Amino acid sequence: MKRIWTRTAAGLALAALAMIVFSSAASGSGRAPAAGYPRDATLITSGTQWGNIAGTNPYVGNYAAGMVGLVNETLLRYDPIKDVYINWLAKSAKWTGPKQYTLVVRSGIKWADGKAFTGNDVKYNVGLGHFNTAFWNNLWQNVRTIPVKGNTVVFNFKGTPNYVQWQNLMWNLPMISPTQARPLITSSAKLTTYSPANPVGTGPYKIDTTGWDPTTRVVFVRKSTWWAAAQHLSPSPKPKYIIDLVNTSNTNSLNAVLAGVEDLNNNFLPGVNTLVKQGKVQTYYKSSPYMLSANTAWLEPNTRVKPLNDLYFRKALAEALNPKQYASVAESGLVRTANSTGLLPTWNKYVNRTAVTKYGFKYSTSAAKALLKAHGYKLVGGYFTNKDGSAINLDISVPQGWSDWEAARDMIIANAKAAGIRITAKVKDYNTWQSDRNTGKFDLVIDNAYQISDNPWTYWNGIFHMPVITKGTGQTFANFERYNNTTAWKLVQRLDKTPPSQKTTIMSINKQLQTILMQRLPMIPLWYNGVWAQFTSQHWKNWPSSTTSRKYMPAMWRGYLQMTGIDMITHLAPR
Amino acid sequence: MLRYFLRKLFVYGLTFVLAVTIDWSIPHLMPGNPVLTLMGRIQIQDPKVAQQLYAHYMRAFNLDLPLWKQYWYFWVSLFHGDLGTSILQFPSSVTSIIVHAAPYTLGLLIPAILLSWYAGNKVGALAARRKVLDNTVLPLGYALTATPYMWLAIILSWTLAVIWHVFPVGYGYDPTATRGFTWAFIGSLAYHWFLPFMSLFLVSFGGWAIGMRNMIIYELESDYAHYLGALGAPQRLIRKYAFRNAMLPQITGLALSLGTILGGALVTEIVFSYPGLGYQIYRAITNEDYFVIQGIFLFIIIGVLVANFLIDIAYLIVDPRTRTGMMAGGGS
Amino acid sequence: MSSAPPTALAAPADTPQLKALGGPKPMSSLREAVHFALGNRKLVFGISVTVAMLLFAIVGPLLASHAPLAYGGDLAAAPTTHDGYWFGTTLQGQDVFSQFVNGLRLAFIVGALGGGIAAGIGMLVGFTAGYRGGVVDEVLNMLTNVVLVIPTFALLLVIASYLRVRGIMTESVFIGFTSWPWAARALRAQTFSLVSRDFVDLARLSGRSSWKIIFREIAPNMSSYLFMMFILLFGGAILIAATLDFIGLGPSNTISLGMMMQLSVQNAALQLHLWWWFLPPGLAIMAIVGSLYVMNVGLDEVFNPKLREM
Repeated sequence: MKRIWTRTAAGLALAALAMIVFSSAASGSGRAPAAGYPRDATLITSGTQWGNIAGTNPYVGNYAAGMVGLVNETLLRYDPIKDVYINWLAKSAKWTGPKQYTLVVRSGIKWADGKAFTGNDVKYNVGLGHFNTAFWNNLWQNVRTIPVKGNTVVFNFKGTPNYVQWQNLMWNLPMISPTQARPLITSSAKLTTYSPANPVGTGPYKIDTTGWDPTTRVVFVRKSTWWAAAQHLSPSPKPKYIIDLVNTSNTNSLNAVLAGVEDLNNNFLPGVNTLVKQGKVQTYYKSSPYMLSANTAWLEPNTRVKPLNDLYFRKALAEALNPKQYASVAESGLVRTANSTGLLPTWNKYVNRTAVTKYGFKYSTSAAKALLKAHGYKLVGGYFTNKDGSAINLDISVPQGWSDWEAARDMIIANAKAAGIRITAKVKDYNTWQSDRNTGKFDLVIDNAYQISDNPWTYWNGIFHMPVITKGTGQTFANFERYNNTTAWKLVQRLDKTPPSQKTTIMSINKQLQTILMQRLPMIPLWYNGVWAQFTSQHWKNWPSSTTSRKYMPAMWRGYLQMTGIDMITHLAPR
Repeated sequence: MLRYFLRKLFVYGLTFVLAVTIDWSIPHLMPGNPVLTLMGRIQIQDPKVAQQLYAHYMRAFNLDLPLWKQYWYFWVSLFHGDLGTSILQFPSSVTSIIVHAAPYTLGLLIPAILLSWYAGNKVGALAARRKVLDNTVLPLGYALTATPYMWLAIILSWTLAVIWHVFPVGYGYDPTATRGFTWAFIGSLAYHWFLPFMSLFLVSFGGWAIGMRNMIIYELESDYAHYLGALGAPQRLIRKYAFRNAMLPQITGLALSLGTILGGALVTEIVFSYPGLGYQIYRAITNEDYFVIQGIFLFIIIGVLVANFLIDIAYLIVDPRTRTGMMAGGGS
Repeated sequence: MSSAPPTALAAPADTPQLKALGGPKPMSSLREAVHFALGNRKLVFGISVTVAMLLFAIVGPLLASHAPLAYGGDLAAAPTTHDGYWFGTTLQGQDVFSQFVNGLRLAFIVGALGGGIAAGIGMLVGFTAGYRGGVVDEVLNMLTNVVLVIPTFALLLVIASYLRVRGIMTESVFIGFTSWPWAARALRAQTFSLVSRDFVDLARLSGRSSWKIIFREIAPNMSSYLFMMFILLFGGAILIAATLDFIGLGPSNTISLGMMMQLSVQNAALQLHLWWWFLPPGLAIMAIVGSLYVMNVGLDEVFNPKLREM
């Protein structure tokens, strides 16, 4: 009797389970059950948020992807393809004197709480730089006064302004609401932990707190009015909801894009080239390199280590490498090979072709060998030894799991071996790799620390920054190759202090810096990593494409929405 | 019986202390400094400020205290329920990460363990008496139990999700679903739960089925079975007793298998991007997120100890000899 | 991974019944054993598959035309007879056949080493506890229980990720050092039952040292048991290693079956339908471990007349 009951109970439970599972399956035909955010009015993205969403602090840490750009906006924006600044929250912003920058805030902009966006709000936000944990603290040190009259904000500087960094700040500093922030940000530590559940911003979206799930997604819901649409500076975005999903793995993202569960994905997905050819996904370019360029991948030597401290050894190493193979095989043709300056295509106007022809390096194993032989290195048993006879065995590392870089690393080892240079791979997880790079515990790494920006100065600053810190936290943001070149560093600093009107000086300094880079090779440029972006038109169409007028950055990455990522979103149309 | 329990509790207590010590010490042996990692992400330009912030975080995370003090504070905060703050997902607390992820993992593990054990034993027992069934169950069972968990997950994902689109490829629930106690949301959860559950269930099922089948055959060949047969008892009765005796090692086997199915859940979560503890610990390990590793590991240990204890109770209920203290060889 | 470890072996250890039966009988004459062995279908099947895979692992690398990690082939090409890419290529143009046979070799090494170490420690602890009894037994029993309860997989995970450079040897050693408890338990119970037998008392009276008694009298009577235990540990080690490799904690500078599965999943092999990349490694593990388990059951039937096929 008891047995019959237990069997019935078990049977019923299984039946109930089956019903739930299959009813949800049936209602979606392999996709999702309905109740919730209407799919056709929702844009689903992924590829930015690695790891749980840590909150809404717009300066530091794993804040919700899309927040800066959709919720909090910036004073200016920058279009890297056209290389122009876009006046955004600021109606105009320019240098009005050797030590003065004047900015006029656009009228008619309102915060999400209804208050008007005024010049005082700008002063508050820039003023947060006085905390030593703010990333623009060094710029703040140079500001003398900030008189505000209505919507006009004037910045008076103490000494020569850092023109380049200041301009960069104008389109990277998110405007947060003083009403919301002032009572909370009371110390430098609090600046890094400030994380309101419902951040107030000027942007077209706000966070939907009911959909917030830090392990899975952030949901943005469109506001009823947006100043940019009201003033006809931009179309009003069509997606009522934008959901950005936390990344779990590259291939699941690929699955999601193919199935139409995600509309846009900004991960590096291996094999995307095949899928584009099959018409299953779309990318910015219809053929190789498929993606726009986002940053340069360099081979970074530790120039304090023998024999990498020898210029000729570095030159020989550069000539031994075949970046074309890395780009076409390791990266599946999804990237462009870098030119000898390493400058991104967006900075083509700064590339000096004569210098490149004269000082650039080319792939040639024989030339590499000859160079080494000519400078005192002896070939012993297939590998070169140091001038003093000791063996050369350099280690190279990339973050573990970055399979395309691991493939490239192995190709580099093979190329070097053909030229007689012995390199061995060291496996390190991302954090070990990063802290070893920062503290100088490496011989060679592949690195791409410096991102696309509005000025190659960010690159030169990264490559030539001095002083090199040898203790404690080590190098935290630049010059991981530990290269000392006072001339170059002085040029970099001078570039920052050159007003944008002096175009000839700017070009000349850039030419000199390129030449130093190519002649002294503190870093060896390999390829340009892409703005990884693959999308489908199953729910939204009119994505950015090189063959249309929509030449926008197709990424939700931090720092990209305020370039032209927001344009991508505002130009989408429902299927 | 009391002695049995005290003995068990002592072992578990000892295990707990040992496990907590190992748990605390292993992340400390890991290369790299987690505070430096955090600093690397904040990217301070001014070296003086960097040093200040570094000192601040070292204090906040107790990393500047001597090791034995850190160990002591670890126990203290453990009893306060404070497992520290994540470095990678700063400033989320470890407890919040565990609380968000644990339901998914438990939702996979508990049904998979219980159902596979139950179904596997039943089917194994059936196979032991019917030759026809035995000829299919046996090879299938061996194939399943020899399959690595992640491989079955890959195959299920590839066939049912990628090729035939019957089930979703990953995530905990549909991205557009509204969370809450609605049938639609529960349905979405179940729909995404099904494939990971199946891959855990099938592999374990194979093992239990084979085990039970072999045990029953073994029992049927024992003296008491022959004796009962000689006395003229019906086959059904003999089988009933055989089944009861065969259950005992299967119950102990359940406790022994917890470790392996846990590993299975981890890789299954990776294949399906299921937002459970396995996925979190994987990310924590690859990112040297000290406190998250410690916290999740501790959670696992406590869970396993509790499960073992429950199984011991079950064993006590099922085996009358333990109750009357007649267990030969010591109740361990 | 096998969820119920040592199915046939858990029985003897935990069922008091078997103590009455006296455990496995001393080995019957060799000829009788061989006769039953050859007639046992499971044993024959298990041995043939395992030996076949072993031969494949030994001979395969000699037949491979390319080094396992070398690039140069067409990207993501299907299996072909052209240029020796019999199992096709990976997404980056590496030879899958070469990776496969290399992985097979590593699997056998890990199984033998990891299983061997676990068996060794299990024997040490189990024999000592069973033979000595008393306090020694209590202490060892406690130790065994503690290690048994700790979720060793999670432990392995944490330990392995601590190592910067991982080799196949370290992986095997770690697996060996964490898989021994159930073997120790089973052996302890077995030793208990044999220790009370006459021939052991005789040996003790004649003044033999304990270890000599253990290895000369007790162990040979359990030889079949020991062998079966080793087989199960072997299979278990392969599964654990494959899972660790899949998570990314595999040996550096080489490629194993678990790593092949990991890389194929990471490189979208499922979406791009590169079945030749992820099917062979999983099938191979299934074949080896499955045949080992089947072989184990067959051996059990051969050595234990009561189980011989009805």
